[in-house]
Amino acid sequence: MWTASLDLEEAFDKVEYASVIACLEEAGIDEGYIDAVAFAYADLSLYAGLEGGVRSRDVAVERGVRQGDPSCSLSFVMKRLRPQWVSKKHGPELKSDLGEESKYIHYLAFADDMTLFAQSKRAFKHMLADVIPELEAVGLRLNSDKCMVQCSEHTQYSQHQLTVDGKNFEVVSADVGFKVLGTTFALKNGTQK
Amino acid sequence: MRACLPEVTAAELCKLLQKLKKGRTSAADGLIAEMLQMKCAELVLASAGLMTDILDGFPESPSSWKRSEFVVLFKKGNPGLRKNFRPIAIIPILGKLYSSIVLSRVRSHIEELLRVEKAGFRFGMGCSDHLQALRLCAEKAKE
Repeated sequence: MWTASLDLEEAFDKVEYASVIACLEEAGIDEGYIDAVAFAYADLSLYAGLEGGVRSRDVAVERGVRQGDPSCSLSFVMKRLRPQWVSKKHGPELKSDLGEESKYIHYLAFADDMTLFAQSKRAFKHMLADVIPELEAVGLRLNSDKCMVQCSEHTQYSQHQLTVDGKNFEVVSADVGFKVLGTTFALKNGTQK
Repeated sequence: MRACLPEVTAAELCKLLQKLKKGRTSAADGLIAEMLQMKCAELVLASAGLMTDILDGFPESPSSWKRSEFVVLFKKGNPGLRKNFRPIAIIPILGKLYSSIVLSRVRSHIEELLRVEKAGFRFGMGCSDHLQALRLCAEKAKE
């Protein structure tokens, strides 16, 4: 099995409000609440507070999750409501028992931390090739220097690089693994603090 | 079709008020969470009425909620480099309260739509649940 940990460049700062509203519309949320969310995001401005109570002029804000805003989770969760990049050509992958019914999974995401899974190198490269433009379409970019790949079967891939669309991904050994949410995740050793 | 939204009640507002964090600095409006948490009945009623008006699409909505103060915090490392600073926005407290109301109203609907793979900021899908899911995936890989 192949797995990758994806690192997104400044993911929280790049959420565009228009795309959040579009997601809510797609999700069929009551129009009244879409207007309510649109009100919260409309005409936002920032000023810089400087020493001695001096304030800069106001600057308009059109994107970015506002830290401390209770609805920041909403905007981020909505961001990738439907991952269109998971297509048939990636084939049935992992059978999981997550949730009520068992199903196949291609990825696990925790806020902006994404972990992809694929059964073969070919399917894995397809997946990466599809996910990159899909993320870019919503204003997110992969930080390929910080993305890590590991493979459980073929140890000869360890200490090498995987290249997809001109981006190089570091391949690490499945015994060592990579970090996910501050925990080491190694295909051959499970997860460890 | 636009349905009429339920009004914001004083009780609903009080419940969300308790969740606002104490000891935070104020934005340009000078309001802090503790002032609202004193539960002055008139103030809560007036705020609830105002929020209801906004949900109803009342044209004269307050613009002061939308001005945040931009503060740059130093993280670590070389203070001469821009990347070592983290900008944050100090948001007016009433704007936060309004956000919590909207969020509490739409949250359950959104939860139903999200895929099981998507964790973080969700009920019952915290960090440890996510790690457990990853652990299961590693187990499957060994099979």
